[in-house]
Amino acid sequence: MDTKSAGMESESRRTPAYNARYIGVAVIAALVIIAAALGERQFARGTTERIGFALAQSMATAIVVVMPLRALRHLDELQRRIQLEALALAFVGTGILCSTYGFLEKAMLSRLDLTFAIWPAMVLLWVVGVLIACRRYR
Amino acid sequence: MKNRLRVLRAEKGWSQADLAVKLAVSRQTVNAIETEKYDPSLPLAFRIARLFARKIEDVFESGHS
Repeated sequence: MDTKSAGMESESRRTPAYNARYIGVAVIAALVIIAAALGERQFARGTTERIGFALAQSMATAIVVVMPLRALRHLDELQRRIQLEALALAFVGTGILCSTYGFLEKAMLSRLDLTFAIWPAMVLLWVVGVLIACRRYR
Repeated sequence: MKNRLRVLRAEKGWSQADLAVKLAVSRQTVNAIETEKYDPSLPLAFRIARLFARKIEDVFESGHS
């Protein structure tokens, strides 16, 4: 790999303009999710408008999720390893939590829609994973 | 894997941040390599050796030898 060109690419991706655009798109996507969640309440289930709001939320969520994945390309090899370990922990940990609740639900716990618990659990476990990995390589 | 990165960097009078910029990696990565908590990939190891004008085996040494 050409060290010089790799360094230049790395620098160009870290400019304030790039960071501002990155944050701006994420904020807009988050606002779309909130607006669609509020807007859909005005319409009955099964209406075209409600389906439209649901799809808008889905697309905005996809943007919020894909953007950090794109950001991974701009990290160096150690940072990528840290992120891989953190994402693996989040993926496996969320799976374990969900399946544990599923098993306990059959045995004793009340029925619960876990749709809105999955993302917070993943993000929380990802943060924990990053902290653990950073500590390991400190 | 053992390495002489800290010594070589000190000889040049560079900080970890200086070396990180020259290698296009983070300071965290330089520190992790110096403290031997992270073994760099072969391309990065070659970049390091080239930067210090050394052979790769003059910078890195297998822990098994």
